[in-house]
Amino acid sequence: MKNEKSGVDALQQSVLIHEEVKVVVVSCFEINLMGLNAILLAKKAGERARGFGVISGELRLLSLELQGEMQRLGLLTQELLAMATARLQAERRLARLTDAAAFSDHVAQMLNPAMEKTRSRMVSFNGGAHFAECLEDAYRTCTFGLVLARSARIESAYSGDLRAVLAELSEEFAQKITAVLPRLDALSRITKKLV
Amino acid sequence: MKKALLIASAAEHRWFAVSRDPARPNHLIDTNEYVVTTGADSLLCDPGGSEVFPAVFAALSEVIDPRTVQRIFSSHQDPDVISSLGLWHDFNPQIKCHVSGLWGGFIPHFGGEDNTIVGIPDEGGTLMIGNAPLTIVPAHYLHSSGNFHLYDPACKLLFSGDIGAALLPDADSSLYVEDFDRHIRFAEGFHRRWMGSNTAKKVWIDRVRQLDIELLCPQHGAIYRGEDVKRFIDWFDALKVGLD
Repeated sequence: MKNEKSGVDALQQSVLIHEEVKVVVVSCFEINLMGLNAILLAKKAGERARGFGVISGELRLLSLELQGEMQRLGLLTQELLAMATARLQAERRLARLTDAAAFSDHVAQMLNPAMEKTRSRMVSFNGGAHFAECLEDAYRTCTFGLVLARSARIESAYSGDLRAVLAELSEEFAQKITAVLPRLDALSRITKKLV
Repeated sequence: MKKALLIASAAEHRWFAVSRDPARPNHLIDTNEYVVTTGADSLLCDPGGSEVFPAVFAALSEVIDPRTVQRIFSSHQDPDVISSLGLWHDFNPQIKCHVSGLWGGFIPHFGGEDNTIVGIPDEGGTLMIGNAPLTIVPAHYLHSSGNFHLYDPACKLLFSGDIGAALLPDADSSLYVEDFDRHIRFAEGFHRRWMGSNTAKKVWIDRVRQLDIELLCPQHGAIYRGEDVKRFIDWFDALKVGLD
């Protein structure tokens, strides 16, 4: 994070990140439920839908992986929030001290050490690289998810009576995962400002 | 800017009132801060909110060396009383804050560490300023559940926190009560609502009637002096307050 980034900016960014993360976590939850549903359907279809069932299980694991990545982002956001709060507090204190110092040179001289100390509390956030790393992992997970959704589509063609239902389900998997990508883009844009 | 005015002195020490800031924003209640100093040792009473810190600090600097402020006395926990504590600690992390033990875990939200808060027991106690003792007078439930005033027998001065407070019109800029009957109208609503208990009021009145008080110094409004002190106590005695 650049030194001039104010506490208010950092606080607002932490809120934006948190909101995006929440949306992705909801998607993860939905993918997980869809995966469970798909496994049950595949079981119903018998041996011919075994491949579809295995892929659905993989998609469930993938949703948990993505959720874990979002949790990491959430923890980083908490760090950002703590930093933003400390910085905001320091900024406000510095403003009051600066107001007092403006009364006279004598007062300014006395308050100078306190002002320096307060400035030193305005720590910069250096977690931008961690955000980027975490988002790259999430992108990789989603890309792999899309590959899995395509494979599920292929497997659905061999699933006997339930093939139409499973084909639809595989399409929903792909849509749900595709919908996560713009959220990751948004997170990437927000967190880029932190690097 | 606020001004620090000498209001009392005894052999060893002097009391200053820091009050009346024409630059104060209208949305903030006006407050009086008091400091008693020996020259080498100063005790600041109810230092005020963080928003008034610049004005208080600058005004104090005109009359004392702020580095001599080693202790703060906080009558109770309200933000207009003590939310500047964090700024005072920025200036000097060693400053001790004396406040009701009841509020010991709350006040550090404004600033300071656990080793800078000195909890006052419910029954009160004594603080020394130089060689002079100051009596910590309990005033619980008037209006805070853990509330104290400070009495200086040498100067016959009672710092009374919110008791005696008046919400004065801006035009009333006198530091002292000049016309008791007019002044008390601005104190009535405040006392009826903010003082929680007639029983607590009676306990306080019985206690302070035993003290020889020349100056009764509230955190808001004007200072009562001479005969007006007794007038105020009698008026307060007759006033029905709170819920009981």
